[in-house]
Amino acid sequence: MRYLLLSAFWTLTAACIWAQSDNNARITGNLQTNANFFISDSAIGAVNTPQYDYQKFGAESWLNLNYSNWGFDVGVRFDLFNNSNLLNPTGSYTDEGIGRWFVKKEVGPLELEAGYLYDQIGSGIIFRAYEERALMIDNALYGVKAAWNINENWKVKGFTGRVKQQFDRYGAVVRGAAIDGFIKPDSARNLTLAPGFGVVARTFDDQTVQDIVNTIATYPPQDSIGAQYNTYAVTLYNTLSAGAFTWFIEGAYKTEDVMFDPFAPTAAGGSGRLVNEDGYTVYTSLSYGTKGFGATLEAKRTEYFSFRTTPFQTGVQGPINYLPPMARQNTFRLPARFAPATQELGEQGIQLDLRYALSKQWEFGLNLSDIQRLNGEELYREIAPEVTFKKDRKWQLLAGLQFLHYNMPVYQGKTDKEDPEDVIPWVGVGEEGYVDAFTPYAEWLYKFSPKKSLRVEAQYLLTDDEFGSWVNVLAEVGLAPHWLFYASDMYKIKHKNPEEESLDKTRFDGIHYPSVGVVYTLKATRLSLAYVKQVEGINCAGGICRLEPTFHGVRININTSF
Amino acid sequence: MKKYAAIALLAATLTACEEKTILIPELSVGDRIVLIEELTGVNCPNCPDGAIELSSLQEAYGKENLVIVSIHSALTGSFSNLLPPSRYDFRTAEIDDLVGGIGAVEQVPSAAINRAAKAGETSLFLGRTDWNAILANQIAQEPQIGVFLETTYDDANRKLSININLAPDATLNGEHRLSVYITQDSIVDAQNIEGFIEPNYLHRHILRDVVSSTSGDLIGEPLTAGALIQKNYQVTLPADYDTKHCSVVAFVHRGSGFDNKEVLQAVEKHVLD
Repeated sequence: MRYLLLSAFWTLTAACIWAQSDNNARITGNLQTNANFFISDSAIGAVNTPQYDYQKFGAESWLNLNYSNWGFDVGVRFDLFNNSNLLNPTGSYTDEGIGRWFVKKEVGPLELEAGYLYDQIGSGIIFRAYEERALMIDNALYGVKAAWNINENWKVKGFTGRVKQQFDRYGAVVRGAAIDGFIKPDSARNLTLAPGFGVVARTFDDQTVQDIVNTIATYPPQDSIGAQYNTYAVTLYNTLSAGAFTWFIEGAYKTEDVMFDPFAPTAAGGSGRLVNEDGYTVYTSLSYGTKGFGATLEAKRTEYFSFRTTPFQTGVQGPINYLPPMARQNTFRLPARFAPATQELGEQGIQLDLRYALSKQWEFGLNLSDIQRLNGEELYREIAPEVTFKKDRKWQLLAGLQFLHYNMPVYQGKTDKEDPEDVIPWVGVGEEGYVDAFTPYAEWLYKFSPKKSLRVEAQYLLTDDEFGSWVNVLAEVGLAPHWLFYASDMYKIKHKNPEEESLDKTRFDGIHYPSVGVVYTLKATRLSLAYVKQVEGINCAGGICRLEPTFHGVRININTSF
Repeated sequence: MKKYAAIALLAATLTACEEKTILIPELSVGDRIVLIEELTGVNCPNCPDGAIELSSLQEAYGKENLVIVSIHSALTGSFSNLLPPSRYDFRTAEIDDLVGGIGAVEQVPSAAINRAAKAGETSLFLGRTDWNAILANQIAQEPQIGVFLETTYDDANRKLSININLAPDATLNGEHRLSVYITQDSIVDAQNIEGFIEPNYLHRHILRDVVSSTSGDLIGEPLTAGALIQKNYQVTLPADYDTKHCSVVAFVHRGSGFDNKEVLQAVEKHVLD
């Protein structure tokens, strides 16, 4: 099968070359390559993985080719993983082959597509097939999809297939359908509705059912649960736009589903077992935007809404759906250090984001986020005011503060002792198990000329939790349009009384994590070379998080599109 | 009209939803004795839950069918760091070598169940959600070889003689190895339990010593059906081993390669039995 796909890849490549003489043909593509040279360093924990111990090199690459002609869209993508730690941060994964292919054709109002499909229903709560390479998420649906454009405002689609697992597929069959519309009740008024309804069903394969049966069979009667082959999820959503307001709401329900709940108590006195529960998610987002002012209020409540190809897949592997996050994605390194992963078995959260431009010079922002378990236990609280000052296009300064309260056991499986007198004065007693952090940050951009600029950023993370306080600075010189040079250093501030702390807390004390790099850009091609020393942490995108291991070595990245 | 037809079509996908109930059968076990090598750590807050689950599995399948070895290795990083009240350090360079040879440490707690590989995984040390399925699959298989163990212990000089008889039921081709461990049960020492330090936690099935080489000793004799192969090991137990709780674990496993280390049969015997 793999040889057939490789043949298809080369056939398409040949077709692309041939098609360059055909005026109707359109060829697009892109390439992304990451190459990592690993240098072991026991002081920062860059040891004991195959890459540091003996492989010394790892790489990932994706080459995507799309070709359009005669009303067809076809595409194929070659994926390569050599000694890669993307799949498992402390493991090594090597494989290569066709990571995606698809064929798409429109026949009048009918759209047909087959192959590895990316798509979603509503905001993705019951179904989302997407790719997030930095997290090694690629849960494309390997199947077929048909969509019918009923009229210019209404469209219905249906699909069936299996979810991609690297170069294979999970056994479960996923099928679904959705109808999406657009309604403008009165053309004279600025009011529109975009309602939709979707349904997805998943059937466990026999092997998964056998594994579930074998697992439940070992449970004592008190922990025993039922199980079923099929689980159904339905969702109803609508976007209402009225003037400056936009209101999105989605409510989804899922029938009984076998899931692994790491917090479910067991009869033996532990926690973590399979449960068979139905669940729901309600998500809403209300936005208001006028000149100079913008506000977004989001809220979500989730109970038992893990929807996976098998209950034995955890983390970023095997999801069928996607739950919107309730915290902003921080871009600066230290404010992003403690990021909350979406708790698909139960959480309730609210987020408010305000932006106000007082003048052309001054802009103010405020982001508030609060996430709790359904029993009210605090999981994550972030308060982040921000101000930007622009001076005559010559320079601009962004400054912000982050006040953080973060549940360590839930998000990272680690804990932290109580701090009777927290280093942050207003915290008082630092609660056991929580990280309390205060992080001022700033970014200064100065333009010497339209082509020459300097960007400096600095952050200071004040905490006595986890490993303690950090400082990070970065300077970046841009020589447009081609060159960018940068150097940064993240430094672990030493504990005042290290003898009173555990070895675990002080193990990075006094260590510098410098990085230097150069980026060259030529039209749509970006090449970068960097020496990187990076502390372990959590890498998140859209509420999906995974461990980002310590890195020490040289990184080369190539990105190009054509 | 088309709109309503579309909605009706969507609704149709929900019909015929009468679910077939999945019956949960009684557990059945044969003669296969499965080895579980659990990666744990005294500073691993979730490891006690893993230990409880393994105890539950041993109860469900029977102690005679499940051999558990709990391994503390520095390769688990900070999870193995000693706690302020810790009295013992179960980590040794030899154990690190053993763990590195079995597979990458990707999570803790995790366990190699008969060192069987799971499709899509890059390590033989699997997370808790995978244990039951692999175990059920392994325990359902008939053993291809019998492993019989006799121990003689001399309390005066703490010398332990281990006699192992291997009796293949079928001809086994390829590279096979014999591994022998000393484990100690019921050691009271500190443990991080979900963030709280318990100074008097009861540690079970602790791996103390690898008697054979860490990759297992190569079985040079042909493993043909009906053959009887005898192996003997002599070891002096260190003074800090409480022999009352010490056991010998022996098992035959395939040679090498990521997905070719499967344990064919294991056996456990108390030192003083």
